[in-house]
Amino acid sequence: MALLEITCTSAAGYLHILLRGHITSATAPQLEQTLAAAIAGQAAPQCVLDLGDLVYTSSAGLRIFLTFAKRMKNAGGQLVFCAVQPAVHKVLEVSGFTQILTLVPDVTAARDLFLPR
Amino acid sequence: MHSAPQASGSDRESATRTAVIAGGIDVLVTLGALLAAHSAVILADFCKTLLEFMAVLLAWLTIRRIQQGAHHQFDYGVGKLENLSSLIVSLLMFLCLAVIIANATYSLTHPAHISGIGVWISVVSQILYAVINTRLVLQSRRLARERNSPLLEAQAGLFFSKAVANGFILLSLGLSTLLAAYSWSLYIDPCASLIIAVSILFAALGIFKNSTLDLLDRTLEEEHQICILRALARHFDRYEELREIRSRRSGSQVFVEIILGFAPAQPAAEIETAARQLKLELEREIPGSRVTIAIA
Repeated sequence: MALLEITCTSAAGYLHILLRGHITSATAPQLEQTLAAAIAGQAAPQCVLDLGDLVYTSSAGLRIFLTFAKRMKNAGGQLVFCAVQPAVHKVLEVSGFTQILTLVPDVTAARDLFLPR
Repeated sequence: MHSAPQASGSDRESATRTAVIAGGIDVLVTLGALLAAHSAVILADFCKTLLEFMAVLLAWLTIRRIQQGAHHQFDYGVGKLENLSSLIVSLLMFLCLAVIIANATYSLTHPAHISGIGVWISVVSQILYAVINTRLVLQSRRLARERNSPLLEAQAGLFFSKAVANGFILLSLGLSTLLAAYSWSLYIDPCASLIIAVSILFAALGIFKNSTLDLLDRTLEEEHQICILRALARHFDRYEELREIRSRRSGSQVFVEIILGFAPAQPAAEIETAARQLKLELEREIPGSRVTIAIA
């Protein structure tokens, strides 16, 4: 069974969330809960979603990305996706998500986008 | 927001009614041939014709029910009705199979030449129905494409197999008659009836499989899920919150419900326009869909 591993770390005023594995309808609820908990109660959160080790995402994953992007925007925060692998990038592109999400090559580039705290 | 079903049901019902009439006449002619002939192929042809008639009759009754239901609140149930009809036909197919196989087995163990005026009735009717069935194939395929209906698609396949069967039965009867001087020609008739039985078996298995799968509501295909998300991405700045997306397929119909949150300060007219545009775009992109945008 395809699994999803989520690692959340807080560093220098931003949240680094590393996704490893597959986002499917089976693993999506876990991701949804983790993301909601990660920014709960935070004002203007800054977050990097590191997709460097994400092999696959189904529409369930896209739906979570969309919801999360909305929440971040409403909270006045910043969300950056980094190190997106070609297969996942293609899905994001086909679904038009590359037009609404901020994608950068790596964590350093993502960090540079954040406002200093 | 909910769109009223606007499929041209009268065209659909008219095409199916034509098929019912044609099928009914075919059943009578084949029954006449069966009673006036001694042939395993003609028995198999009668079983097959009867099945096909039952299929279109049930389809017509289902479509009539859907037409009536369109004015009420049966929308989530009509897909199941279509599939239930297919399931009944496939069960009848298995019953006919048993009759054909039993008769063919008897004919193989007690071989006899095909005989009777019924053979010639069958030959003439096969030629006539080959022409009619080919016409119905073209009509059903066109409507299936336009309406995105698995029922009409299945019907087109049924008429195609009927046209092919007409040619096959004609060939079998012709060879049995022309090669009557050879003793082995006695086996053409029962063997041909078994081939018809195999074709019925495959058709029954296909319909049975699709109907049972469709009776359980299916999740919307990934391709269409992506389509919904793409539309939501396109309108990203027009709503404040994506609360929920519910979608499912029932028969030929797709139901999508999207719950969106809007900022309290956003003018009602703007919200209405955004929701309407999203709904129209999705209904255009997903064939056979009914999209509801709920505002939270």
